[in-house]
Amino acid sequence: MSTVTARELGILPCAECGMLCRAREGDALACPRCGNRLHARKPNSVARTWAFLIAAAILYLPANLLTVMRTDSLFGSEDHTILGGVVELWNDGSWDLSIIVFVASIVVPILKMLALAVLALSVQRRSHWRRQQRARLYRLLDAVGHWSMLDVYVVALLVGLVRFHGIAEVLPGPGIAAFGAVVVLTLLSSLSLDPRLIWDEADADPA
Amino acid sequence: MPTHATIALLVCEQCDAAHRKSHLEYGELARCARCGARLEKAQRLTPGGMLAMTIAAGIMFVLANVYPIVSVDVRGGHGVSTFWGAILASWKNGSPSIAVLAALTVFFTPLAELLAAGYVLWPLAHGRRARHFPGAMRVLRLVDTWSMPEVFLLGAIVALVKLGGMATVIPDTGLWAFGALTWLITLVTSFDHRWLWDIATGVES
Repeated sequence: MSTVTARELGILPCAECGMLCRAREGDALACPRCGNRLHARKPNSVARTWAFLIAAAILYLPANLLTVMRTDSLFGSEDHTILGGVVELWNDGSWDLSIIVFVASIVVPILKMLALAVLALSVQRRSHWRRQQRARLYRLLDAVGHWSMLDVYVVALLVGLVRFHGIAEVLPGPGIAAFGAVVVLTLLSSLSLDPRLIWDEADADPA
Repeated sequence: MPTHATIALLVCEQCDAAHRKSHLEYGELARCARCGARLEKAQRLTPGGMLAMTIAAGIMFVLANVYPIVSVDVRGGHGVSTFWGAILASWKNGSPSIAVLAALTVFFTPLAELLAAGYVLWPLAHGRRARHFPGAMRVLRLVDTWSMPEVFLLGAIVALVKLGGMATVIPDTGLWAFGALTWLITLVTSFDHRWLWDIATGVES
């Protein structure tokens, strides 16, 4: 491949303002335009990615097993989980919203955690495997990750809106805080991962 | 001290590949030849146009937070609720963590984005550079990941449908304002930060 990288040219692009600085990575270099610290790659990228990812994976269990909300009405009280909420929407006839919530709350978090693990592992192993697809996977994660916050808003709104004492009330369950934490942690994990690491070994190869 | 490198290069933020800068026509998009990420997009708006969008978004932000987002009727009970009413009630009913999370991602981060964008764009539209330009730009970049009014809008629709089974729910002014805010704030914050930096470098402070 005939690609020339900024690193080979001795250029550090500033992550903050995009200025191309003629410098090799060393300690305590600051961008002359915006003052931001210059790094060729995000510092401790893989270790930070794993730390956030493992924390998210642990919290994923309570997020799905515990109650996310409890509805009290004249017809009795009921506990709801994330998956239960999807099923209820489906049974109520809102199959379109049911699919959206299923994708945002179940498919996206699982795929996101798996994808982050695959990306972090392959970067650690300096893998040559499907670089372009992995780069695209990273950009996809970046684009869809925050949609998982959906259920947090749904519960917050229902709890806030339905407060008619004795008639109907919605109370939050412990699961929703864990779910919110999973979303925040996976976002932090993908922010920590530097996609340039996917390509670094290709550059080092004697082509 | 690092010095300025050649300006005729464009470096991919996603894979570090260096490209020769080429002229983009109105609305054109340049992609990285190696990884396919977006390199540069020719901007459709001037700083003045973006300022107008920011002010419009600010007005919608006020409306979205002042007016009720929904009114609910359940046998004998009637209630209207604003965004903050719902957040505060959810705080009091024992879920402070999700109330804080929702307030941060739907109120405080969009507010910070609008204030920082207005602060940067107002002087820039008049050919000057704000005194704390680098700080405001850093706020814009840091906050961007955590601003999610579009997700909240979808969440509100899901919540309304779920409520529909047990009560009569009517979307109110605040919710329409949230819709407009979502659209405007996406336009305001989708600009290329490097492009604003390049403009700001050309004008005196």
